[in-house]
Amino acid sequence: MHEIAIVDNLITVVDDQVKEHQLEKVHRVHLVVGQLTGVVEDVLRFCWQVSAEGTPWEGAQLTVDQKAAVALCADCNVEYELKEQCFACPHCGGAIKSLVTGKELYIDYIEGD
Amino acid sequence: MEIKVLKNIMKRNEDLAGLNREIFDKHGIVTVNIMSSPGAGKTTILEKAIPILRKDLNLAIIEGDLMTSRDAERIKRQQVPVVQINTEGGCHLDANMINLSLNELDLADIDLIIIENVGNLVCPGTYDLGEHFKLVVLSVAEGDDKPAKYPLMFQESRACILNKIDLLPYSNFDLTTFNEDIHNLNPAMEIFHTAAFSGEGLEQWCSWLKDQVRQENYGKNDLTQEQRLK
Ligand SMILES: [Zn+2]
Repeated sequence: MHEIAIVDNLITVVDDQVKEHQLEKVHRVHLVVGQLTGVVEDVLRFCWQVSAEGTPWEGAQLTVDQKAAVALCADCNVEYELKEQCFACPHCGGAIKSLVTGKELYIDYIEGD
Repeated sequence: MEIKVLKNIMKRNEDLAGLNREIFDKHGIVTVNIMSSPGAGKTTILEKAIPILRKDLNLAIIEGDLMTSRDAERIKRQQVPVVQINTEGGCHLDANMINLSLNELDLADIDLIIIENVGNLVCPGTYDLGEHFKLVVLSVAEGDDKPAKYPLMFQESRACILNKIDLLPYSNFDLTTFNEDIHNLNPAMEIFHTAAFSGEGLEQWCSWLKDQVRQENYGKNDLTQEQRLK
């Protein structure tokens, strides 16, 4: 359900690009998706295929770059990858100051003619 | 040809969220987005909190619900303006729904809007509604591993209400693990212990919430303090 709504939003951005660059055919849409967004890639791709029917991006490949969740330690200022069930800094045991990556949900590039 | 896009997929939602935020700020309204799993007790918390908050603030509630209007009916009995958004199976509220629901509220008369999001700990995290801050509600019955399973929700919220605290002696909920996880994820997070059914802990939470409204409004010079906090 989450993925349907995301694809719906995705299509608005793709459509803008198609118009702006006057594309007749889109071959690929490449996304960057952070691990913390809870997006399931297969479901996303399925929703994409269904909603692309009859559009210039029908048949376009949806490729996804998964971004790991990385946090910045509040105490020692080192960046570390968040492992499931364990959020403390592995170097000093400190807490998270901010998230560096993991929340991404953007279109990197599209290929088309 | 390859076209570099670098645009957020949720751009449409973010633009609308920005618009909502402008509307809130223009009217001196503070907005909070409350999220939880289904059954954590959000509606009961609101039922008990409204009479306390209403003493100092003009409230409105936006109620997200999958199918029914049962929660909105419960809130309506509290004599505050309620807008119900039926998501028809959708698992979250989005900025557009909030934008539309603002048409049904008399914004000039509101200090605080509480948005009760649809019960779900994943999807609502992706949707900025234009709120000033987020809260997460968790109940003891759900277990102490929720922050570990849904880190983003807890990382992004300003406070967490741990509800049904009266069940603590009857569950294997480990308060130490819970506190540790929360601290590691979000050291600044406020934690409130409540038993909404009996009203326990709600006074503390409400007085914190009133403080937040005061702080959010502080420095916004378009309205006087009296106009904001009646
Ligand atoms: Zn560290």
